[in-house]
This record gives sequence, structure tokens and C-alpha cells, in this order.
Amino acid sequence: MSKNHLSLMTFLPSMFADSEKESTTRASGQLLIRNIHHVLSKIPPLEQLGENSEYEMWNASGVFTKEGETESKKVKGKEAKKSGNDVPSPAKISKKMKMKFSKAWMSFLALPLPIDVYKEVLVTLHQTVIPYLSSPIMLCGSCTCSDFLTRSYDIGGVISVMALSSLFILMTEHGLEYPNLYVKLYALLEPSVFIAKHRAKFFELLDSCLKSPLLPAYLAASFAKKLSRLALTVPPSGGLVIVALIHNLLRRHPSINCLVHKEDNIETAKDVSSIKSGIDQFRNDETDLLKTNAMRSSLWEIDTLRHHYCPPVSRFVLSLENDLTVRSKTTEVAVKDFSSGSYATIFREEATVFVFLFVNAQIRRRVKQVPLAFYKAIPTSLFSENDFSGWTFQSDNNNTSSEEIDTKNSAERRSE
Amino acid sequence: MKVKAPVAKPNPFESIWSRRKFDILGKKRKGEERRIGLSRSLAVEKRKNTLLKDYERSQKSSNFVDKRIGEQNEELGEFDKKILRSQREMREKLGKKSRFNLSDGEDDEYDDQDGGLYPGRDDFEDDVPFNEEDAEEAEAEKKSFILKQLSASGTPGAHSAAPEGDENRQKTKKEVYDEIISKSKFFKAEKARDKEENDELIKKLDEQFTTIQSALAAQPKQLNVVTNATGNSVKVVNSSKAEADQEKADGYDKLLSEMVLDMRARPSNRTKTPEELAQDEKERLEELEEKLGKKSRFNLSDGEDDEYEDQDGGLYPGRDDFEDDVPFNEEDAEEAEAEKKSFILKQLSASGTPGAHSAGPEGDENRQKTKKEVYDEIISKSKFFKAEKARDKEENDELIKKLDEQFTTIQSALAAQPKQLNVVNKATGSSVKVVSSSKAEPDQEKADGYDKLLSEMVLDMRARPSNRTKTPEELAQDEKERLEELEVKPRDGKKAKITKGQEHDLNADKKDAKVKLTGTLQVDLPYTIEAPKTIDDLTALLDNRSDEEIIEAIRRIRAFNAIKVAAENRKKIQVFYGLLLQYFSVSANKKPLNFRLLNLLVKPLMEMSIEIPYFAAICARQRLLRTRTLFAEDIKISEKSCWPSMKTLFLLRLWSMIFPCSDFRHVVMTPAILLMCEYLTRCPITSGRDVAIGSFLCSMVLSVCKQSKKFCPEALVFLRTLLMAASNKKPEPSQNSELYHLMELKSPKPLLCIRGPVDEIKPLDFLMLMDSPDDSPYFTSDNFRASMLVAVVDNLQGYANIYEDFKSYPEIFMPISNLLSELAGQDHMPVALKDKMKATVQLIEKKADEHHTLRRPLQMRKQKPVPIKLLNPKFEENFVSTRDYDPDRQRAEDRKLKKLVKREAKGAARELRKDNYFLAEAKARDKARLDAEKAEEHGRARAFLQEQEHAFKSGQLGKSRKRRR
Repeated sequence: MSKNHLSLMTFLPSMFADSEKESTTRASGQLLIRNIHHVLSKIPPLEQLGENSEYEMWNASGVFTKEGETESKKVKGKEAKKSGNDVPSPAKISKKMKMKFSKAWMSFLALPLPIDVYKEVLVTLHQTVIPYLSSPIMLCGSCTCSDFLTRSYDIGGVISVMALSSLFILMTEHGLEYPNLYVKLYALLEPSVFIAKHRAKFFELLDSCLKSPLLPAYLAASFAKKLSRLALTVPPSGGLVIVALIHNLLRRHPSINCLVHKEDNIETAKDVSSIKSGIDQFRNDETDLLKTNAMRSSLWEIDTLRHHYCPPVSRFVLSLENDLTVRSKTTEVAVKDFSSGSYATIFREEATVFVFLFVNAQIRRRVKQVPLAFYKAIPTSLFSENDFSGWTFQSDNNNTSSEEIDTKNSAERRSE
Repeated sequence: MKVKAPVAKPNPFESIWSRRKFDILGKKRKGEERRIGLSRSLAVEKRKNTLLKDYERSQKSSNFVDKRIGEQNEELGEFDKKILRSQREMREKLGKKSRFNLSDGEDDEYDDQDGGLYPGRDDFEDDVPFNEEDAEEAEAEKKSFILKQLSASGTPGAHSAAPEGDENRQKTKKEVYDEIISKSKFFKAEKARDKEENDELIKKLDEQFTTIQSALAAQPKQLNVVTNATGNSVKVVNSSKAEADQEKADGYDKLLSEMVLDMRARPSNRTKTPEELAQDEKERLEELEEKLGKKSRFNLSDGEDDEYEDQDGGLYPGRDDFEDDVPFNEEDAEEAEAEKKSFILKQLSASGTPGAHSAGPEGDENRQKTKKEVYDEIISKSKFFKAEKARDKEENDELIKKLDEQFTTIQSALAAQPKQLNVVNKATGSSVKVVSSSKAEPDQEKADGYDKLLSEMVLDMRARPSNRTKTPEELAQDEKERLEELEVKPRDGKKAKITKGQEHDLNADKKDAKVKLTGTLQVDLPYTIEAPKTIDDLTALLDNRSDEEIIEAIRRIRAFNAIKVAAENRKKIQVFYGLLLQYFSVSANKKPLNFRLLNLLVKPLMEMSIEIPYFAAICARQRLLRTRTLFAEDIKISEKSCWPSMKTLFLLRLWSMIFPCSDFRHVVMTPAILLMCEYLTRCPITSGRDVAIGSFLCSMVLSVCKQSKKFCPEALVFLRTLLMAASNKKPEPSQNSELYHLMELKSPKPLLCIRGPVDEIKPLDFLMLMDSPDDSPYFTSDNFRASMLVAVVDNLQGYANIYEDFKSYPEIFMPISNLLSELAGQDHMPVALKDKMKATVQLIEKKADEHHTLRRPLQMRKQKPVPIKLLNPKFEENFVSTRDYDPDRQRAEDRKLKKLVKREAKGAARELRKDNYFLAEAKARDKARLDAEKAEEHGRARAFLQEQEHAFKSGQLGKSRKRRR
């Protein structure tokens, strides 16, 4: 099995070259790509291979003979000599294999991948591929391969979100420079992110990208304001994440705390001159972080979240009321706890809380009340048209009688 | 150490310490609170005792230590010291056990009595009348004997007298009389106390009497014939009572007799508790059912229909009729019938009903007696009547019981007294007897068994009006019967059904019978309906009935199984509630929707939720959870429409009516609104029907959020998406792409875009929309689109109104108002709709403008403002000069301590100084004494020498001696 893989690996580059030259029909090409991806993703991690010496011995001859054919003759002579008298050292073999592995992946990524494979590759790249590449930075900037990740990051939308995790690893561990990161990151902040599949990873990465206290204030403020603006449209789970992210931002950057707390005394003088002080100076559509004007705005949206229908959200907003400029008294919120939230988690939370309580109702540990709505006169109809303007509720089945009743009911209601 | 000198000659400085002659207002007087003279002399005295002693001792090598007992103890008086010393002496003497120690005889005893425990004895001796001495000598002797005995038993009063009595037999009778007198005084006190206790008890009884009386007085007074047994027992009690408290007899008697009369009065007009009302309702139904059953059994249904229906209204509709119906007339006419029925009863009891179990053998016994079967029948018929009365009787019973208890307490209290009080004793004794005998009666009769009871009861039935007041035994019987009744009850309904079924189809199997049963039920709804256990039962009961009948059936089930009647009904009602909810949801999903029935079901469901809130909440929770899991599964299948069904919508609406929407967190409403919002966010909009459901959900969310003004972004986003779907332009990708992403709006086609002229705009009929299929042409008609847009705009207006206080109002609504104004400008837009949109835009813009002018940057970190230090003088009410008003407590404390230290230091220095003065004085005194001595010595020596010299000079040496001689 693994022998097959390895042999395939060696053949791959040439095969890709062929397929590109030939430019076969799209369908067959896609099928081929799928197959290749399947094979590639099934290759066991190389390090484990390296440790298993016996396995390696068995493989070594085959690999090297085949490699010898494709590689330059000089090398071939050397290898042949070595393979002839002695088995090469395991370190060397693993290095070679790594080279092969990288090469195979590089050439694979250069292909025009269908969208589902593309996504899958992006998801698994940072876990299964990057650690085993010989020089991971190649993924971005090598001359042979196009900068796969930056390209995909520039696409925007879901793809960028997925590319971000690999990119982040490259930046933090392999010294990749990517100056446009924050602009792109800012552009990614859209409502769709909050229901995307990989949002958990994205939010964690976003939090760690914004971790540095050395970031300029305008940048942090822009992010905070943008997030809070998004809070007006996202589901409750997103609201929780936003509050957590803003909490961390405010704590890391004391200079942007004016977003949530601005003393009035300076403002009063201004008020006389500028009448409409309440206009939000923030420019939502601006993509340039310098020009968003976020510092002159205020996070009114956060205040609105206090009235959110979902109790966890409205509770969590209160955490922003602590003075986050005092670092010793506050702690950062772990975004991880909220990033993977969805309707299901919130719903379950509400449900489990209740079920737990009710199971213990006999023990009476914390029996919750079940309040009931109070009516002076218990309503007799399910829908009253006062509540639902633009709708009527008249069934066709027994038109006359029900209408009579409805009119009677409404008359009664009016009289009441 | 007895310095008597100051006592003998008081120091005037000690007794007079103020030289004040006149009171002068406002003049500050210094040093008056301290008695300087006294304290000074005390200090001097103290120094004399301590310092001076030390000083004196300092020049001596040994000192005398006083080790007498109590000499060092300041607290002991002189007398106590002596006592202690003598005790010690005695103990030592006893310890030695010397045989040569002779006893001092009676000395000891008399010494003790010197203290004068009975100082008044002498007075008595004078008072004792000597003329009685002879007449009562014998009696006194006897009494003294008794006294002796008593004193031996340890009564406290006789304590000191006892030894004397023994020893002083030979002494004068005066002392004996003394004792007697003291004894009698003690007894008198005892008696008085007992009497007081009695009085108190009686008073308490009186109070309770009055309360009972007032309770009874509220009832209409209906004169009934008293049954013999009751009358007797009450009378006996009455007489005994009268004897007991003769002084109060008339008043008490009257009250009691009144009460006896009152007991007969029927407590019908008492205001009823909810429990009793529920019970009444239940019994009414039972009675009606019983009549129904009888009707069918006797085939009398033709004539009496109207009568029965009339009886629906009254609270006690059956009673009068029933008394007429009491089958004494049947007795003659329908004896055969009755026999048959009693046979049925017997069968029932034989089949194992525990309640009827004991009745069975009785029936057998009564077989031989004349007409006993008939009575049996009567009993069974009157059971309902009795059960109804049982409650009232129970209460009466309780009252009587209470009264009895109080009687016995009084009696026991009286009985506890010494039996010297003859009159009282007699009375109480007899009353006890009477009461005990009357109490013994029930026991006896209980033991007698059923026969007697039964016959009694039969008698009871005959004397119908009189059985409001019952003897205890009767009450006990009633109680028992009631219990039996309760046990038999569930079977009654079954019996009726079975017999009915048998009448109709004897050979059919059970299921068939059931079907038949329902067939017959169609004609007439049974009055007493057991709460159904399964949904099949319920549907069998409610199928093919009119709406009114269904509601009536539910009402009857609830009345018959009311929780207030019996605790175990809670379970039944809970099951029934679950079933009713299921029935509600099932009928909500039925294709020809009976909307009226659903509306009618709302009321009972809500009322039942009030009765069992926990269970209602649980039901709602479980259903919500299930709905959500189903939804989560549905949404994975892309082609299936996952919008909520009619059932879900109706249930959500029902819950939002049952439970409060304004709670911050509610066990039902929070998940419900979450679910609604999830629908709005996650369901793809593919057809006009989806649009309709979605916008309807939005209006439901609005109605939920309205009260507490909760912010619900999902609904707003959804409405915004609908508006975008109505625009005919392609949305610019830059501006609105984000929302499309969020909504995953799968149909790019503008679903709501109005293409042609619109005929009419009318409110959408929700039920009709829900009924029509997805591809109905109506959904693509412009009429629908216009009407839908009206609904959407109305809805938006509602949201715009309730969210007006939100700080980010402009941010929320400005994009929407932009969209609206854009839409208003489109072609084919009907005028009414256009106006509506413009009005909404104006509303939003007005409010946004307000926010723009009034809004201030957030101030979330509001800290408590630090107060400015005030420098203007503060005036203190009730100023106390010595108190430190420093607001800084620590500083005040410090200052206080410092002051204390300073004062102590000063005091110490002063003390030392005064010590020094004192010592110097003492030394000076010593020195002066020595000097004086020396001077005296010197003078004497000098005088001697002078004399010598004088003699020598004068030449008369020895002359004086000579002369002396």
C-alpha cells in the first residue's frame, strides 16, 4: 500500500506536467485531480515512516531505483553505488522522502482544483501537510509553485477564512511576511462569517492575530467597531463571540476604551457648535483601516445588545462594563469558549439547564419557578389581529360561524 | 484593723463637698461631681493601709501574718466569718471522734433557729383563741396528725414545722395551731391557684363557643327534628356542663342549647372554598350521570329529559328531586326491580371491589329480613347524596370533637384538685362519668357491627331532614361510607358503561362494545368522564363531535378529575393535559383545519396550565426540543422545506400566550424565541409560501418581543431580505452582499418584485396561505406580493416603534429605510403601499434624527462620582462637647488613646507625688516623735543635773533625801 503511494508520489510531477500539456476535457481532469488528492491525503506522515527502519529498508531500494531514473545522472551514480553496497542512513532517506512529498504537493496545488477539493485541501493543509514539507514557505513564495495560500486568501469569503489558519502557521512559525494581513482580515468580517462552517477556527485566529498590544489604536478600534456593527445582524452565538473579541480588544488596547466610555466634559463645548453629535462617524464600507474613522465613533451597538432576546448575550455584554483599562483586575476572555457556538449550543444550554433543574426538582436544590402569563380575562382566540397586522385568520371551512364568532370576539375585545 | 476613729468623728470634708449656696443658671460648676474631700481621705486611708505599712515594715525583719479564716476576705461580714470559724471547729471536733466528747444536747438546733425564720410566731401565740381550744381539741389533734404526715411527704410549707411537731408533742397546743394555720393558708393558696386555672380554661372555652356560635349563626336557622340519640347525648353533656359551672350556668346553658339548635341548621350558605366548589361540580356531574344511567336502566328517558336539562344550572339541582325520588314509593311499586338491582350490587361486591366487600355479607344477612334488600338499594342510591353531605358533617363532627376535648380537659383539671372541694368535685365527677359513658357508647356500637349500623342508617334515611346533626357513631359511619364511596366511584362509571354495552350488544367482544359505546355516546355525552389515559381514548371520545360538545367534554373531564378534589387527580390531569396538547397539535395539522376548535381549545389549555405550571412547562420544553431536533435533521436535506409547519406555529403561539414573554429568561419562552429566530436565519427562502411563513414568524417574534423590547436581529435581517427580494434592481454586490451571505438566500429571483398592476390589497389570510401548496399560482400573483409587502412594512413599523430607545437605532434602521424609499420609487407600486412605505420611512428618519441629535458617546464605565470636600461648617444636632466629631475614625481613636495615656501619666505622677508627701509626712512624724522623745530625755537629764547642781551649790547634799525619809 505504502509502496504504491510512494511510487505514485514520484510519478506525480511528471503526470501533472502531462495533464497540463494535454489539457484534457474538464471532467476527466477533475476526476484525475480527485484521485490524486485521495492518494495524497492517504499518505501516512513521513516522520512515522522514518522511525520504522525495517519498513524503510524494504522501500528504500524501490524508491531509489525509481528516483534514480528521474533524477540527474550524477546523483544516480552515487545512489547506485550506495544502494549497491549499503543501505543509506535513515535520516537521509527521510530527507529525500520529504523532498518528494513536498514536490508532489507543490505540483498538486498548482493544478486548477475543483471547489470541494480545494476546500478540503485548505482545511487539512495546516495539519497534515505543512509540518512535513521540506520548506513550508514555498507554499507562499517559491518560484516554482504559485503562492497558493496567498492566492486563496485573496479570493475572499469562505476560502480566505479557511486559508487563514495555514497562513497563520506560516507567519508565526516560518517567518512569512504578509503585510496585507489586517486589511484582508478586516475585509473578512462579514455576517456570513458568523454562520460559516469554520468560524470557530477563524475567530480563534482572529483573536490571536489581534493579540499584540503593539497594534495601532486605529486598527484595533476599526476592528472593534466593525465587529460591533456586525452584532446587529448576526445570530446570538455570533453576538457572544463579538462581545468576547471586543472585550479582549478593549483590554489589550487601553487607548481604544474611548469607544465605550467617553467623558462628556470635553464634548459639551463641542456640542454647541456641532448640533448632530450623535451621528456615527464610522464608515462601514471603508476597506482602508486608516480611513474608517472608528476612533471618533462609539460602540452604541454594544449597548443595544443589552436588550438582546437571548439571555446569555445580554448577560455577557455586562462584562464590558468593568474597567478593562486596569489590567491587573481583569482577565481576557477565552474566545475558544464562544467561537464554536451556534443555535444548537445555545439551545442545548438553555435546555440542559432546565432539565437538570427539573431532574433535581425532587431534591429541591434549585427549583426554578415556572411563571405564567397573567390575563384579566383568558383570551379565547389563538391570534388576535391587533397583534398581527396585515394578516387575517378566517378559515374557509366554516366561514359563517367562525366569522360570527370572530366579530363577536373582536366586539367583546373592543368593549373591554 | 478596726480603725474606729473616722467613724466616731466624721470628717466634715467628706460629708460636705459642695460649697454652692445658690443655683446660678448657666454657671459652669467645676469639680462638683467629684467628692474631693472624701476621695482625698480615702486615698490617705489607702496609703495608710499600704504604703505606711510597707514603710513601717521596711525597718523590721519579721512581720505578723493573720491566718484566721476569712480574715483576708473582704466580702465576708463579721457574722459570716464567725460562722465559718465555728463550722471549722465543729468539723475538727467531729473528725476526731473522741469518745470522751460529750454531746451538747439540743444546743445546736436552737442555735440555728436564732436567725428567726418565724419571727411572727409570737403574734400568733397571742392571737390564738383559747376558747376554741377545748371544742376543737380532738380535731386539732387529728389535723396535726395529718399535718405530720403531709410534712413527712415533703410539702415546702411544712418544712420547718415538721421536726418541731415530732419533738414537741408535749408542748403547748398553741404551736400545733400555728402549724394548722400555716397549713390551711398553704392549701388556700393552692386552691386559689387551681381556681384561677379553671377560670382560664372556662374562659377559653367560652371564647371558642362564641366563635363557633358566630359561625353557626351565619347559617340559616332551620328547625329540624332532633334524633333521639343525638338529643340525648347532647343533653347529657349539657347537664353535666351546667353542674360544672353553676355560677355561670344560665349564660352557658343558653349558649349551649342555642348551639345544639344551631347544629341542626344546615350550613348550606357557607362561602365555599375552591376545593369545595370543584367537589360540588364533580358531584353534580356524578349525580347527573347517575340519573342518566338510571334513565337508561329504567327506560324512563322519554318524559324526564327536560327536567334533567333544567337541572344543569343549579348548584344543588338534584337534591329536592332526589328527596322526592327517594325510592320509598318505588319500594312498593318496583320491588322486583329493586331486587334485581341489589343482586347486581351483590355481584359487584363479589367481583372484588374493596368498598363493597363488607357490604356483601350484610346483604346476605339482610336477605332474611323483610324489605332489607330494598333498604340496601336505598342505601346505594343515597350514597351520592350522603357523599355530598359528608363534608358538612365532617366539619360538624370536628366541632363536636373539639368541644368534647375541651370538656375533658376541664374535667381532668378539676379532677386533679384535692377532693376537699366537695361541691365542685361532685359536679365534675358526675360529668366525667356521663361523658365517659357517652364516649363508651360509640365504641360499643362500633363493636356491634354492621347490622346495627345499617339499621341505624336506614332509620337515618327515614328521618331525612334530621340527619344534619349526628351522633358520633353516625358520623363515623358516614365517614366510612364516604371512603367506600370514593373507592366504589371509579367502578360506577365502568359499571354503567358495561351495563349499557350489554344492553346494546351482549355477544360483541370488548372492542365492539367500545365502538358501540362511543356510538351511544354520540347521542349523549356522559356526565362523568374519567380522564383519558391514551390519545386513542381521547380521540374516541372526541371524534365526530361538534366543537361545543368537545369543549363541554373537556370541561366535564376537568370538573370530574379536578385536582382540588383529590390529590391523585393531579396525575390524571397531567396525563390529560399532555393528551390535550397532542390533540391540539394534531388538529392543527389536519388538512381541513378546524380553526374554531383550536381557538376554543385555547381556553381550557391555558386554564389547565395555570393549574399545573411545571408540567405545562415540561411539555412545552419537550416539544420544543423535539421540534428543534427534527428541524436540525430537516435542514440537512436541502430539497425539503424546513419552515415550521402549522402545528409548530400554533404551538409556539399558544406557548407565547400561556407563558410570559417579558421574562428575562424563561424556561419555555427563551428556547421558543430562539427556535423562531433560528427558523428565520437558517431556512432558505425558495417560494412564496416560505416568504409568507417567514414574515408571519417575524410578526410572531414581534408580538413576543413587544413587551420587553427585546432586540431580535434575525427578524430584522429577514424583513430586510424580503424587501431586497422586492426590488427590481440587481442588488449591488458591494452594499448588500453581506446580507445575502448571511441569509443564504438561495433564490436570486426577486420573489416579491411587483411586475404588473395590482388590483387590490387586502390582509393575507394566513390559514388559506398555509393550506395552499408551494406552487400555487397565488404566490406568484402580484396581489400576493403587494399584500405581503404591506404585511412586511407593517411589521417593520412595529419593530421601528418598539426599538426606538435603542442607542444604535440609526444603524439598525437606516439601511432599511433606504431600501424602503428605493422600493417606493419603483414602477407598479400600488399607491396605498407606497404611502405606507413612505410613512414608515418618515417614522424611521424622524426617530433616527432624534438619535443623531441626542445621542452621546457611550459611558459604560460610569464610576461613582467622588464627592468634593466640603469646607463650610457643619452643624451638629445635639452636640456633645466631649465627643470627637472627627470623620476619620482612626484619627479619632488615636487621639482618644493619646489623651488617655497622658491622663494616666499625669495621674501616676500625681500619685507618686502624693505618696512622697505622705511618706515624708510619716517620716517627719517619726522624726518629730523621736525628737520629742529625745528632747524629753534631754530635759529630764537636764533637770536631774540641774537638781544635782542646785543641791551641790546650795550645800544641802542629801538633805532632801533625808527629808523624804
